[in-house]
Order: sequence, then structure tokens, then C-alpha cells
Amino acid sequence: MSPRPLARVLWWYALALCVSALCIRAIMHLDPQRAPTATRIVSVWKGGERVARAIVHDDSLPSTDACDPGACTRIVERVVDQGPLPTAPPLLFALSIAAGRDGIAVELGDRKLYLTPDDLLAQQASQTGARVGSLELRVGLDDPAELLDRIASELEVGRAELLARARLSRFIVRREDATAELWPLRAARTEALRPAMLEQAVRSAAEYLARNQTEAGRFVYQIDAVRGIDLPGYGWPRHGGTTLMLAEVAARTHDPKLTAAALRGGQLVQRELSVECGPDRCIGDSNRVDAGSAALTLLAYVELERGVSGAAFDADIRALAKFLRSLQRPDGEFMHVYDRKRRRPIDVQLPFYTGEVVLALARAYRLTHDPADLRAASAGLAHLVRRSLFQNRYQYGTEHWTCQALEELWEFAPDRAALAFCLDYQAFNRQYQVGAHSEFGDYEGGFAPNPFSPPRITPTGSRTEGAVATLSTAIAAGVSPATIRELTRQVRRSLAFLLRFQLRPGPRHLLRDPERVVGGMPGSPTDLSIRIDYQQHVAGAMLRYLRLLERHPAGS
Amino acid sequence: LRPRDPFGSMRDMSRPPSVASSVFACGNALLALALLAGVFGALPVRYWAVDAPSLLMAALLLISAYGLLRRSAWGLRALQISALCELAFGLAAVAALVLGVSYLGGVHGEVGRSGLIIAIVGSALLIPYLVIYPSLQLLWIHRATQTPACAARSA
Repeated sequence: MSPRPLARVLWWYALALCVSALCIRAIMHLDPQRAPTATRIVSVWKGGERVARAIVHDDSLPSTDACDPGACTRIVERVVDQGPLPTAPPLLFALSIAAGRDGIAVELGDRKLYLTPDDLLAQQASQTGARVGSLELRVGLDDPAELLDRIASELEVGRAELLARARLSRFIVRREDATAELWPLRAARTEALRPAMLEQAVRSAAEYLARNQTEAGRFVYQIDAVRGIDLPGYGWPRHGGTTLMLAEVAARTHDPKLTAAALRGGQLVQRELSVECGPDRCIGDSNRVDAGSAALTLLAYVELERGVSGAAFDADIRALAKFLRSLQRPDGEFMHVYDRKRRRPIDVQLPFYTGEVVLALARAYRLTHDPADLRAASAGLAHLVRRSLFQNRYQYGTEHWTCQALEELWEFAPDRAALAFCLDYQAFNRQYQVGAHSEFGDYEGGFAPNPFSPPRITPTGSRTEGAVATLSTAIAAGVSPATIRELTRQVRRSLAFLLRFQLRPGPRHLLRDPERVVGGMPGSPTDLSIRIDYQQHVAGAMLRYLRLLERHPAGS
Repeated sequence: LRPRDPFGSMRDMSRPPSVASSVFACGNALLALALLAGVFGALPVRYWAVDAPSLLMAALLLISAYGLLRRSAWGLRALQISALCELAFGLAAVAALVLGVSYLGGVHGEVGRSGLIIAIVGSALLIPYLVIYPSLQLLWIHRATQTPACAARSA
């Protein structure tokens, strides 16, 4: 091919591609700011079920005569904009729905069906997002085929007929009922963030845990808030982290119920999971135990010992610290698994555990005053923040314990390289924090797995724990005021986001048993399941910021 | 396609291939390996619409590399076919990436910083190897296959 035709082909290709991209964007874009249409969707909800629906095209709103107004919630959604929705292939259908924002309108002959964003939330249609095989895309609908079947069943046709004859479109709505102010909690804005709001949120999160704990001390691991059912599974590292958070709240509030709950959590592990690992004591219920369980339990024990009366964990603290030190390699890294049968550690590394161990040893040092704990923690921190050509320079993981360890160690063994690492890490995070005026939703301050998915609550909470710790250390180290201001704004935006999505009471009308989950932190704005570690990280971040404000009121 | 003999002499196997043909042969072989590693090593799911064209493309690249190194008579023809396929493959991949981001940006109202980074980094990784590289090959083949008569006319 001679140069001229080749250049011509490439030029026309580039032009066609640009025009196509702009056209596709314009066709698919829905504008939430445009003047709303006259169409209102009025739904009546009771006990998590939709019991009535009316579509009106004028200002008249039907009364909620389907049930007693005290027992029902009337939701009014006004259609603002509508656009095309391809149904095939199923993956394209799944990716074409903006999770948490879009609804689906279906026209089949003279019948018209609306699935509002609330309907999709009640069905938990976008809990995790679309998948391709084992690959999680975390965008749009979880299971497009199931949703199409539900729509078809509601219209009393088969899926094939629905796809052949119906016209599907996406729409966005503006809520016009009073409950819209409650979730996301509109009052919780960055500029209006007050310590009292955070105190209340932390207490509420801790009360949720205390309410959902057995007498033996085990927590209800995960609850599907929409269906009001417990989900299976349990993780001892998360049990340890949750007990730590409860112990911190109990020490702060001196609430007897929270104190008892924290003690129950700690004593359960002390009683039933303290086992021998060679010459040391560790935490686990099988032959192979992990460093994470021991580290988070150690953190919980230390907090119980420091702040909760009636705790007796001193010997366990020293034993666990000794066990964790025994896992350290000469380069500062830790081995994360211990084989109890063979009485030796296995040199494998699992996500987050090194940071947890370093923080645990640093916190334990406050009680043990054992220089070996301090040395091990410092060496571990130095290992975590080591930079290679690319690692920890242009790209960072989601490790959130390192900067907490930095703060913990700063008083006894300040590490400037670790501070520089944490400042860079937070600057990296800030680039991906959702900004104000997002068309996608009221998500300012959150951290999302990708640009097309609502932020997740826990990653936002855990990143904020690290950010507050960095802020606290930066203030102590005398870092420039401009950096302090940026960090403060980052932290406050994230805390406001977390406050907005706490279930206090949340979208009550969609929940089967709203009282049970008051104070819960859902997985995301579209995933209304609550796991114990969601509480831990969010309340942990809020507590850190409250403590920082007490030391440095200017931090607000 | 009637080559002007870019290898010096097609029939003289004792003479080494030209620098350009050696570079393209090695480049094609490396690209084939990178393509196979990327698709079958890095992608976690198997999908025939991605796997089959990738396999075909890698085979074409390897065949052309072999032909160039062996200074076979069909070497240039194989290179031309692989370059055209590679260019089409590259243009399709860049179009899929750009249109995909544009579609998702339209649906979700924004692309965000990370979306833009994905599009830019993805394009930056694809364009040099799957657009510029085969274009250079096509231009080289064009120059190499110009007959002396054509060259005289163009002069």
C-alpha cells in the first residue's frame, strides 16, 4: 500500500471514530438537570413490598388508600429524562443501566411497565454488577436474564416474546416525596459536617453490632437488609476488627451495653480460639492459622485492656505479640500462615496482613513496653513503604493499615520515609475520589471500583482510616499547611459520604425489618447488605477523626 | 506482488537477509508471543470472538516471521497479509475501546479520570504495535516492491 492511500484510510478512520463516539455518547446520555416531564410514578410500599402503583400525568396525586398511611410509605418519582436501552446481547443490556440511578420502562402493546430505581434497589439488581465468566465488571445489572424474566412475568409473557415485541428504555427520576431527604441523608454535606453528627453515627454503628450479637459473643456476620435475612459465612480477622471498633467506642462512650458487647467479642476468642502454635499462642480453629486473626485480635485485646474495665487480656497480649514477632523475616516482611501440625510458619503473603501485624505490634508496644515489639513494627513498616521502580510510586494498592501504623509509631519511632509514602498514597487516592456534581449520583467523597459504578462504602471507610492517620501524623510532623488543607478536605468529603449512606434509618420502605438494621453501613448505595467489617472501617474512620479534632480542633 | 528482491537475492540463500526484514521478522515473532500471552495468559475468561481472531493473527505473524527469516519467495506476501490483518485488528481494537468508553460515558453521564486513563493507556499500548507498526511494514513493502520502471516513472 502506498503512503497516500494509507494516510487517507487512517484519516477517515480517525474522523469516523470521533464522530461515532460523540454520537453514541449523545444518544445514550440522560440529563438529570433537564426540566422534568409531567409523568409521575406514585408507589406505595409496606414492609419492603410495593403494594400499589399509579402513573399520573398531571399534578394530581392519588391517595394511599391501599393501606393505613402510618404503616405505608408513599414514594413519588417524577420522570426527568428517557433514552434507548438495547436488550441484546444480555451483557450490553446489563452495562446500559447506571446502577442506582436508572429505571427501566417497558412498552408492550398498550401496556406500560415502569421499574423505578427503587424497584431495582428492592430487587438488589445491581448488588455486584455484571460478570463475564469469573470476571467481575462491577458495572450495571448483576443478572440481566433474571431481570428480563421478571419483567416478562409481570407482563405475563415469555422472555422471547418480550424481547421480540416490547420496547425497553432507560429513564431517570427526581424524587418528590419527603423520605427522599433521608437516604442518602441530604443534610450530611462536607461543609456541614459536625462532630456531633459523627458521634451519633459511630454510636449507632456500634449499637447495630451489639444488637446483632449472640450471648456467646459471635456477631451476625452479614445481613441482607432488604430481605431481612442473615447471610452465611464468618471471618475471625473480621471478628477481631469488629471487636476492636466496639472496644474503642465503649472506651469513649462508657456505654454499659457496648462495653459488654466488646468484652463478649474478646472473651469468645480468648475462650474458644486461643490455640498453641509451637511454643506460642495464636488464634484460629484449624491446623493452619493466619497472622491476620492474631493481629486483629491483638488490637482488640489491647483496646479492651486499655479502655474497658473488667478486661483481663494482659497475658494474651504478650503471647500474641511474641507469636507475631516469630513470623517476621529478616527483611521486615511477615510470614502470614502458621502450620500447627508441622510447628512452623509458611512464608506466604496474603492481602493486608503485614499492615495489620505492624499496626498490632505498634499498638501492643503501648502496653508491653517491650522494645522487641517496637523494633519488629518499625522494621515491618519500613518494609511496607519500600519503593521500587514502579511499586509505590505511580500505582498503589488498597492497603489501608500502613498509614495507621505510621501514626501509631510516630511517637516512639518516627519514620519520615513512611510519612512521605502515606502523603503520596493519599494524593494518589484523592485523584480517584468522586467529585461534587456527579451526574451519576450523590456520591461526592466516595471511592468507586471504576468510573461506572457507585462508590463502595468499606473501601471509602478504610481509605479514610488511613487518610485520617496520615493527616494526624502530618500535623504532628509540621507538614505544609497546603497539604494539611488538602488532606482535611479529602477526609471530610469521605466522612460526609459515609454519613449520607448509613442506614439511619435508610430507605425504610424497601427494608423488611428496618429496626434491626438501624446504624448499619451497607456495602454500597446499591448493595444493601451489611457485613461486620463495613461497620468496623466506617466507624473506625469516624472515631479517628473525632480523636484528631479533640487534639487539633483546627483539623476541621 | 512482484518483489524487487528486498533480501538482496531471493535465490542466494548464503547472503543474510536485510536489516529491515530481520527487524520485522523478530518484531512479528515477539508480537505474536505478546498477543498469545496477553489473550491466553492474562485474560481470565475464554470467549471465541476474542480467542479465534487472536490465534489467527498470531499464526499469521509467526508465518510471516518465518518467511522473512528464511528469505522465502512467499515471505513478502505473508508479511503483507499479516500487516493488513494486523492493521485491521488494531483499528478494530482501538475503535472498540474508544466506542466502549464513549458508550459507558454516555450511559453513566461521565467517564471520570480513571475511565479516561483506561482509554488513553489502552490506546497508547495498542496504537504503536497494532497501527503504526503494520503501517510501517506496508510502506516498506510498497517501497521494496516498486519495480525499477515504476521508480523511474515516479522520478
